[in-house]
Amino acid sequence: MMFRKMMAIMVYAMASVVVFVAYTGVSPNSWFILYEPDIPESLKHRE
Amino acid sequence: MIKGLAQRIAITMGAQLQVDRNRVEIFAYGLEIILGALVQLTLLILLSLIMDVFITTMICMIAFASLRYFGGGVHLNTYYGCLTVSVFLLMALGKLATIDISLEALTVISTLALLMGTFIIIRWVPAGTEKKQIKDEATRLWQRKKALLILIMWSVITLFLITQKSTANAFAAVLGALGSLVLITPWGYRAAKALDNILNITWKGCR
Repeated sequence: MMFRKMMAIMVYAMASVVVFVAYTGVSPNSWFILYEPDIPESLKHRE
Repeated sequence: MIKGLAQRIAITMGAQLQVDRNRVEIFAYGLEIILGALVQLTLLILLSLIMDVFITTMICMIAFASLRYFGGGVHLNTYYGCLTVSVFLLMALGKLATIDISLEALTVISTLALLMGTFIIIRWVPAGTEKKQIKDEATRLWQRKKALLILIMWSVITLFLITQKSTANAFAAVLGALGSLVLITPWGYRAAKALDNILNITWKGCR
């Protein structure tokens, strides 16, 4: 039970970080990497 | 490989959190950026440690990344092309920074970099790509100001390093900034496109 709860918290935390990075990926700022992944349609509409 | 891995992790996360398909796509996009950067960073750290140019390469990378974050610049079409070019470029700049250079020459190069950088930023920042372009004039102006601030900050750091007679580190900062600035110009775009074509032909030839 405790393990599941911990796992859920970890997945939520990871999702928050990933979503934050994804949003900065479509912001005017650019990550230093030379490659730019295709921006998903759902994020294009929020630009 | 990175894209596939990012998608698999995103689907697993999506199933755990019970979110819709759009959210999973956002997860995959964010994960692709994180995993791509992690692989690149790990490779750069390992290779620079092996070649004994760790400090200069890291300074180059930080100067390069900070200017690129606000200034933008050219992007390559494939992840592996990007990985090869960016790691090679930063390693070469890190190695170049270790050559013996006089303080006078370094001061001249730093001044030229500041003047050239100011011109490039005013003229071409934010440098967009086919996938991402900033059209709003107020946002463009704001990006220019931020990039200019970063350039001034690096000039101050370089000046400090020169006064401390830390030539290699000062040269690394200048080279990192210059590398990023060149990739903002149309010539940088042309060079990257040519490199992209060569890498694509080589990659196809290897398969």
